[in-house]
This record gives sequence, structure tokens and C-alpha cells, in this order.
Amino acid sequence: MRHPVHPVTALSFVLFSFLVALTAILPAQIGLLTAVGITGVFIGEWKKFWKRILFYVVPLDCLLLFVNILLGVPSAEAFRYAMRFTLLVAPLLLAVLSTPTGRISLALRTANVPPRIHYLFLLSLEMVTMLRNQLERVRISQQLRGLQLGANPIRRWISLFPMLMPVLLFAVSQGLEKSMAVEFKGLERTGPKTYLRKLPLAGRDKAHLTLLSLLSLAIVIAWGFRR
Amino acid sequence: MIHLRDFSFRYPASDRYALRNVSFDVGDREIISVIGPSGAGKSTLGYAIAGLLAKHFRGGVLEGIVELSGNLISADPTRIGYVFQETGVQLSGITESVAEEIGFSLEQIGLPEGEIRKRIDEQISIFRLETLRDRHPGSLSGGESQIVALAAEAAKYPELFILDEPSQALDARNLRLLREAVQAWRRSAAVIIIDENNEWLDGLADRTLFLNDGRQVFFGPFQELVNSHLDLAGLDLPSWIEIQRLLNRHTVTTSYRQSLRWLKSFPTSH
Repeated sequence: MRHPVHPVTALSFVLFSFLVALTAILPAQIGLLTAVGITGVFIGEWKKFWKRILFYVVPLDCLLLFVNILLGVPSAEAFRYAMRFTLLVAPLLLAVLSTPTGRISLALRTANVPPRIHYLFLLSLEMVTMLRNQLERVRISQQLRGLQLGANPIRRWISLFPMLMPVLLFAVSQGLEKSMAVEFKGLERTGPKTYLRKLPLAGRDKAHLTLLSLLSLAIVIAWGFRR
Repeated sequence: MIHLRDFSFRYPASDRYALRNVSFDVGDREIISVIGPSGAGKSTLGYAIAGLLAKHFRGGVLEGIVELSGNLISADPTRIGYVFQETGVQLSGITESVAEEIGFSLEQIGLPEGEIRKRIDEQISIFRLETLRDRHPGSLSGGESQIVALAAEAAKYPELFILDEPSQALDARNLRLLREAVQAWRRSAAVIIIDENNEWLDGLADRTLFLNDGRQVFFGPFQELVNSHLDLAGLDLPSWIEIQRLLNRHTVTTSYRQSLRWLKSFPTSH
């Protein structure tokens, strides 16, 4: 797996995309989505990225659009909500897929992020993987019991709903045991810690962070003017 | 070292006690095996001894006393090494190699770098993990994950080990390594092993606790359980214990290994 950017840079990019989603400046949103799309072609895990975008994000976008229109929201506004959702999810997906969780964790730990926040973030990431694996297991066992899915993606997507409850119950029980296991890893301990591995920021990362800071400032100023 | 007196526990939103009036003591360098059928309360007992119940099951009903070396118990990673039943949750999920995983807790405890590296090498050698040293923990099989989890907990040099179903995913080779490791740990720690099918513990545990439906049925040397005329009818004893009890009752053999030898002495018929 390639490690093109420092985890701090990747997470800053995610925060930046949250800011862009919040400000609702259409050109900035379209520009950022284009940038995410182009970057998504070049990351090592590009297949996984696009598969998740097409299989999860796009259907949820459509659902959001549909529900908003049903509720009487003007279609342009509904489209913006859907785009905002993509802006919240796609950059996070990009960051997570292009940066190994271990590196994100190390960066957060060495940056003295409070253990609880650090672990909450990582547990959420791990839960996504855990849920996906469990969902796959449930689906395979249901297929062995006669569930016909075929290659139809819509049918496969609809088939997820009846499986959600057992998978969520599994996640709750796993999450509980995981939190107990973490306790014995000493992650919540305060006081001095030792790090065998460190992740210094490279010159390229510093340049990225400066650029993101300047862009964030510009967007906040533009947002202020619009209001 | 561990002192449990009239300990009972009921999970939140449950009307049934998972443990009821359990009382026993564990000495400083003692190995205790906990056996009993599924749902007997074995894992709950592990959580109780590790001090996890009050924190993670708020709203549960907890009665009685649990003490570790005279203090009320708390989940202290420097004193307790806990290996959970589910291998999937045991590893941190945030390290990039087996060596890093073994040293992860030690980093959190804040030991000096040299000491951490020394302990990593030591555990890798004890559990014969040389070939897995640089592998990503996420790519390990169930058995490999289990042995790495054991090595990671052992590296903390705790004064108490709690192992919940540690043999579940282990093959014969790793089981032998675990047995050797437990024998080595007892020089400086107490070990509580919760295992339903624990033939591998034969001759290793000093005393056995037998739980059934949350109640303590027996606590004492394992041979006493085997030789006793306790009426255990209706209780789901592991089949290997049943066989041994029967053989002992007819004074054919006195231990599990003897029983095995005796059974193997019969010619195979075709």
C-alpha cells in the first residue's frame, strides 16, 4: 500500500471538506468534488474507493434526493443536500483508504490527541470494516439458505435491509468487548508514553497544510461576504 | 491474591443472576481453571475478577466482594493481562506489525524504548513468532492472532493473567507453546484459565472451579473433582472429565493421561 501523504494532512483535508460542505458555496463544492474524484483515480486503493462510492454513496445520495423531494424541498435544494452528504463522506473515504489506520492512529497519538477522542475515531473506522465483513458473512449464509441475489446491484442493495438488525446487534456486542480489551492495552492511561515509531511531517506535507489553511481562510472570508 | 466472597452479579435488564454467591481465593502463583457449560457465568467471572463489570455494565446488580491483593479490583493494565474469547477484538487494530502489536501496551504504559524492544524480542522468541514478526496483524489467521494476543499480554509482566477460552483457535503446536508459557508465568503471576474443553490443562491447574448456571458447584484440586462422589448428574460435564470419572470410579486409572494411555493400550479392531 502506498503512503502518499501524512495522516495529519489527510485528516486536515477531511476537515477542510467539512468546512466546504458547511459553507454551501457551490463553486467550491463542485471544485472540491472534482478534486476528490481526480485524486480517487490515483490512490492505491482506487478500485475500493470507486466501488464504495458507486455501491454506497451514490444510492444513499439518490435516497436523500428522493426523500427531500417527497417532503416538498425544491429539487435544486435537495440536490445540494445530496452533494453535501457526498462532500462529508467521499473525502473521509479517500483519506481512510489512502492512509493505513495504524498511521492515522500513530499520528493522533503522537499529536497528544486525548485518548478517548482518538479511540472513538478509530473504533468508528474499525466498526465500519467489522460491519461490512459481518454483513458479507450474513449475506453468504443467507445465500446458502436459498436467497437468490444474482448480479443485479439494486437487488443486492435492497437485500441489505433485512440483514441490518442482526449485524447491528453483532456490532454492539463486539464493540463492548472491544472497549474492554482496549482497557487492558492501556490506551486510556494518562502520563508519559513511549513511541517506538514516529511520523514527522515531510516538506510536502507542510506545503499541503499551508495550502489547505490558506484555502480555508479564503472560503471563510467568501462565506462571510455572502452572508 | 484474589479474594471473592459471596459474589453475585446480574446484568442490566436481566432478571436472572449470571453469578450467584461465588466464593473462592486464589494464591499468588496459583493456576486456576474455570470450567462449566456455556452460559454458566465463566466469562462474567473473568470480567468480575478483572474489575470490568462496574464500569462496562452500569445498571447491573453487583453484590459481594472482589479484591486483588487486598484492594478493591480495578481494570489496571499494568497488573492484569486479559486475553478475551473473541480473537477479532483482542488485537488493537491500529498497529502495522506483530512486533508493534506486542509492544503497543508497553508504549502506553510508558516503559523505556530499550525495555520495550527487549520484551518484544523475548515474547517473539517464547511464542516462536519470528516468521510473523513483520506481518500486519490484520492478515493473521485466528490461531495466529490468538498467540500474538497472548504474547502482547505476557509482555506486560502482569501479576495476574485471565485467559478466556485461550485454546479455542490454537492448533496442537501453539497449544503446547501456551502450556509452556503458562508454566513459566506461574513463577511470578497467578493465572486464571477459563476453558470449556480444557484437556490441555490436565496436570497444570492447581485447582479447578466448576460453575453451572452461575453457581459454584466445585472448587478444589482437579483430581478431587474427578475422584469425588459428588452427584454431578444433570450437569453438562465435558466428556473427557466424564470418561475419567468413570474410569477412576472403577479404579482403572487415576489421571487423564493415565486414562488416555489405558484407552490407547487396546488393540484396534477392524
